[in-house]
Amino acid sequence: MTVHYVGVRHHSPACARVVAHAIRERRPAWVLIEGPVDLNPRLDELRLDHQLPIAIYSYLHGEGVHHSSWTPLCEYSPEWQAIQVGDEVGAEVRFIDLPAWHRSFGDYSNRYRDGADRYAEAIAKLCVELRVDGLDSLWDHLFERDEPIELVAERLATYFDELRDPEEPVAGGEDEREQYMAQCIAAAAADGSDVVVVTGGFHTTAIRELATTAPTEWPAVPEPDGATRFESYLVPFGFRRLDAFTGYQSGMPSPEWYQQVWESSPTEAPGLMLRRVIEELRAANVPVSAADLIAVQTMTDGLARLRGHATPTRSDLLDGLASALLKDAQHVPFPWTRRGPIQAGTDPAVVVMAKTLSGSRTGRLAPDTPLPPLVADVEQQLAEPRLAQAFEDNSSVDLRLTTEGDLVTSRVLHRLRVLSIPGFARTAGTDASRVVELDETWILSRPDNQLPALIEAAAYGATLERAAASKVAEELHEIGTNTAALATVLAKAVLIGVASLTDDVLDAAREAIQAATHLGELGNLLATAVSLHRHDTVLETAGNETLSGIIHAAWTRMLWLLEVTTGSTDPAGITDAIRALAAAAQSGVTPPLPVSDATGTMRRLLVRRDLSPELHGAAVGWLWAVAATGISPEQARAEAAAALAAANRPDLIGDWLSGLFALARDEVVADDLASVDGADTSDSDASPSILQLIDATVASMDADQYLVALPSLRMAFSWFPPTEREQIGERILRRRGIKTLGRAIPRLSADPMAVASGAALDEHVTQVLARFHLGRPAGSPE
Amino acid sequence: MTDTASQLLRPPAEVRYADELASLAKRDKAPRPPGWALSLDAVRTFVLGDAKGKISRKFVGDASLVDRALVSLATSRGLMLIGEPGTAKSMLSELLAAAISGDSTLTIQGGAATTEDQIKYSWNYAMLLANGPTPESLVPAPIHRGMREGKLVRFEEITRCPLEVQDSLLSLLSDKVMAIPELPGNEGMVFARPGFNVIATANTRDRGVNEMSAALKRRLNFETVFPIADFETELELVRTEAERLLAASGVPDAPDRDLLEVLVTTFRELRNGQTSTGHALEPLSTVMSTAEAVSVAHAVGLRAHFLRGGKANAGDIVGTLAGTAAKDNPEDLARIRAYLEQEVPRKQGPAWKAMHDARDDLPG
Repeated sequence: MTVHYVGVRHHSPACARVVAHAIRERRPAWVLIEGPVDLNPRLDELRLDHQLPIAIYSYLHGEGVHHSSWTPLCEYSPEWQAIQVGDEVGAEVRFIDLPAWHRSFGDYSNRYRDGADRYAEAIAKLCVELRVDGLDSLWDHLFERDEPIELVAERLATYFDELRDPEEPVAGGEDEREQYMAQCIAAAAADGSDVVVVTGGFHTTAIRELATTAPTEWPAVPEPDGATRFESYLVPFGFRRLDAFTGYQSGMPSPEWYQQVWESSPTEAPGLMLRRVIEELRAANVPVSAADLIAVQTMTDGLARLRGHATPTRSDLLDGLASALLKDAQHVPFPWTRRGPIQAGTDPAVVVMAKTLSGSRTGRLAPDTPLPPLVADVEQQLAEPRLAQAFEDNSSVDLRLTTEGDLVTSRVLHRLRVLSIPGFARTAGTDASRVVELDETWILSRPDNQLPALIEAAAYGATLERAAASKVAEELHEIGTNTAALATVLAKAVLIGVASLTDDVLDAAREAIQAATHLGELGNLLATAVSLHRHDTVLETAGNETLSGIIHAAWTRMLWLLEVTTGSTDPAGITDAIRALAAAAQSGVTPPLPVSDATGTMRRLLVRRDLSPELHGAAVGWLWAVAATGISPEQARAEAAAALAAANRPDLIGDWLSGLFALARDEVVADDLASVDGADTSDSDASPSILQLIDATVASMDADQYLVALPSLRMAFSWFPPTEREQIGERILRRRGIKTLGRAIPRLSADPMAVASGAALDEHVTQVLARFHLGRPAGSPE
Repeated sequence: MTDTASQLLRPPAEVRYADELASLAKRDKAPRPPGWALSLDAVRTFVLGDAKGKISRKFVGDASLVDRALVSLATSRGLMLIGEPGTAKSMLSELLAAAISGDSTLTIQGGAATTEDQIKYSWNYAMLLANGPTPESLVPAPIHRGMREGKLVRFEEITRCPLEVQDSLLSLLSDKVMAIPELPGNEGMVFARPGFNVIATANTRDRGVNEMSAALKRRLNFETVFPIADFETELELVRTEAERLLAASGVPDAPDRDLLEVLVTTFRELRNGQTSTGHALEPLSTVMSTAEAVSVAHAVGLRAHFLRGGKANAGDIVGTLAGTAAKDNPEDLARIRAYLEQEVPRKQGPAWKAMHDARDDLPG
C-alpha cells in the first residue's frame, strides 16, 4: 500500500499539473481531495458539462445565524484536475474535508483561501533571501515556470515541508479538519490500496503524521443541528469574484493569467497577455506607441533574465509594463507587490493592467444541474408575458400601483431587489422618503451574474416571498443603532408587501428602536410609519398591526430621549421629532398612544432652562395643539401668550416661534381670525391674539434689535404657506388702518445701499438727540 | 575603509563600500552589460545585500523596484527616481552609480540657478582668450565626462531646474551624442561610450514632474520610491544610521531601543495621519521621512551627550521635534502639540509616559 501526498496551493496551475501527473503515473484506487465531505453523494453534479469557473456554494441559515461560503473551482484548480484525472484512471474520487457549515471554518467564506498568513514570517524571510516582493512573486519564481514536472513536484514538497514548523500549534479549528482528513486517508488505505491525497500544502505534513495513527474506519459525515438549514449548490462563478477575495480570504491573484498559463503554456502566456493588456490600455485611451511596446518587451525580458526566469512570469510582465509605460509619481505601491485589493489612488493604467490579468471570464452551469427551489419559484413569478417581453428587448415596464395586477408584479420585482438580484433596476418610484409614488418604471435584463445571485439568495428561503422577508429581517438585525437606515429598511419592507412583515420583523425593528439614540432620525422613522399606517391604502399598510407596533415602540423611546435631551446639538431635528409625535398622537393608532405621558414630558421640557427657545416653543405648541386632557383651548392660548412674554427677546423670539409654529400653526391662525372677528363686533375685552402680540413686540424693537431678530423671524414664518402669510400681513395692516392688499405695498425703487445709509444716518441723529435729552429716546412709544 | 576615507566627512559610496565592491567583482561570473563594472545580479546583491556573502543590505525598499531600475539602466532609457523627500532616492542613485560605474561623483545638483554650462561643459576663459576654443580650454561638466568615460551621471532634483535646462538632455539621451559647435572637426562631437546613462531624481513635494516635457518623460523610465512600509525595518534602519552618525560625532552611546521606538512610531503616525490603533490624525504638512527621523535621533543623542552629559530621554525628542518636524509652520506645531496631549497618553510604556511628561518642553 502506498499513500502519495500532493500538497498544493489552491488555484495553482503548476500544482494542477503535478496532481494530474501523479495520478496518471500511479493510477491509484483512491483519489482523496480536500473538499466538503457531505457533497460526495452528489459528486456527479460536478461531472456534468459545466463551463468553469464554478463554485460549490454552501449556506447555513437559522435563527440569528447566516453564514455562506464558496469552494471555487477553475479548470486549472488542482482539485478540479484531481477529479477529472481520477475519473480518467478509474479511481474512486472522494472529498475528505469537513462540511462548510462546520465551526472549524470560523468566518471564512473562501474554502480555498491561501492560509499562508500563519507562515508569514517564514515566507517573508524567504522573500528577502530570494529578493522577491511577496508571496505571489515568490510562488511564481519557484513554481509557475516551464520546468520538468518532477523538479516542480520535488520543490513543492520541500517548500511546504520546510515552511510548516511541526512544533507550532495549528490555529483554531484547523486541527479538527486535519484529524478528519487523516482518518479518511487511513480508512481508504486500510485495505492496502494505493491512494493519492490532494490537500492544501500546509496541511500535508500534519496529515501524513496523523494518518499513521488514525482509526481505519470511515468517519461519520457530521450533521448540523436540526434548527438550522444547511444546503450546498453549484453556482456559476467568475474570475472577478475569484480575485475579489481579499485579506486572509485571498488566494492566487490574476486568474486570467493562470488560465492562459494552463491553456497554452508558461512560455506562451506572457505574449498573449501582453497583447491583451496593450489592447485594453489603448481602448482606455492610454497612448502606447510601437516604441513603448519595444520598451515593454525589452524591460520584461530583461527582468526575467535578471531574475533567472526562462520566460517572463506574471510579475516580470507587470513590472515591465509599469516601468516602461508610467510617466508619473505613483501614490500607492503597485498592487502586485502587496496582497489585498487595489488601493485607492492607484494609477488608472495600473488598474487596467491588473484587471486584464484578472480577467472577466464567467462560468456557466450545465443545463440539468440541480438548482434550489427559489430559482424555479422566481421563474414562475416572472412568467408574465409582459415581463418576458421586457427581458427580451431590455425595455422598460411601467406599473401603476393602483391596478391590482401591477401591485402584485411590483412586489415581485421589489422582492428581487431586496435580495440584490442584478437585472432589476427601478428608474422611477417611491424611495425611502414618506412620499408614495403611484407609478413605477422598471428596466429588466438578464446579466450573467443573475443566476448565481439567485442561487445564493436561496439561503434566505425557498420561495421569493419568504426569502425577501427574511432578508429584510436580517437587515433589520444588522442595523444596530442606525435609525436612518431603519426608515429605509422599513420602506423596503412595505414595498415587498406588508403581508410578508412578520413578527420577527417587528421584533428586529423594536430592538433597533430601543438602541437608537438620535431623536431626529427616530422622528423621521415615526413620521414614515405614521403616514403609512394612516393613509396608505395602495400599499395596504393602512391600519397595519406591525406598523402600529413600530409606532408604539418609537413613541416610547422618543419620549425617553426627549426627557434626557440636552437639546443643544440639533434643535431643528428635535422639533421635527416633536412634530412627528404630534402626528402620531393624532393618527388614531390602535391601541391609542398615551398622549398624557407626552404632555407631562412637554411640561417638564418647558421648565428646563438649559434647552433652546425652539424646544420651548415646540413644547408650548404641543400643549396648545395636542394636549388632550385637563386643559381648555383658551387656557392653552393664555399659556402660550404668557410663554411668549417670557421669550420676548430679539435674540430668542424667532427661534421660539419656529418651535411654536411647527406644532400649532393652525391654532395660531385660528386664534388670529377669532380676534379679528372679535374686533369687528367691537368686543374691546378680547385679549390680543398671539400674532398681535408678536406684532407689538416687533414694533417696539429698535433698528439693531430688529436686525438681530429678523433672520430667525423669517425662518419661523416660513412655516406658513405663502397664502397664509399674505393673509396674516393683510390683517396686521388692517389693524393699523391700512386697507390695501399686502402685495400692493410698493417695493422701493431706490438703491438698497442708499436706503441703508440713510437709515443709519437717521439712527445716528436719533441717538445723538437722545444723548442730549433733546428727543424721543430710541424704542419708546410714539 | 582606507585611511583617507576615514578622514572625510562623508566619503562617496564607492569609497565607503570599496571592500564589498571588490569582493563582488571577484566573485562576479555573470555577463556584464557593456561599460558596466559589475553584472546586474552583482549590483542587485550590492544594493539589497547578501548575508552569506557578507554584503550589507543598504536599501530596504521593494526588491522589484531595484530590479526594474537596473533593467532600465541597462536599456537605452534613463532612470527617474521619484518620491517624497527623504525616501532614500539619492542614496539609491548613489549606490547604483557606485556599483555600475565605480564612480558616484558625476553629479549635477539641480536648482533654479542650474544652467546648461553646469550640465555639459564650460570654458576656462583665460585660456579661451589666449588660445581660442581648444579641447584644452574646455572645462567638462558631468554629462561630458559621463559620455566620454562611459559612466552613469546623477542628476539630483531635476525638476527644480528651469524647463529649457531640463530639455537640454533630450538629444543627449536619444542620440547619445553631444555637439560642441565651438570646436572644429572631430572634436566637435562627443559620442557616448557604452555605460553612459542618466539617473535623475525628483521629489513630489515642491514641483513634481507635471511640468516636465513629454519628450523628456518618454526618454526616462519612472520609478516611485515609497516610505518604508514595515515598522521593524524602519526602526532598524533608524537605529543603525543614528548609531553611525553619533559615533562619527563622537557620542559613545546610542539612544535606547525604547526611545527610538517612540520616535519612529511618532514619525510614522504623523506621516500617515493614522495611529497604529486606527485613530485618524491630522497629518503634518512637513515631510516626516525616515531621513528626518534619523536626523532627530542624531540630534537627540548630541543634545543629551554634549548639553546634559547623559543618555538621551524622551524629553530630548520633544525638544528636537519642533525644529526638525514643525520647521517654522505654526499649524504643524499645533498638530504636534495635540499629538503629545491626546495620543501620547494613550500609549503604554515608560518612554511614552516620559514623553507625555515632557510635553511642556515643546517650544513655541
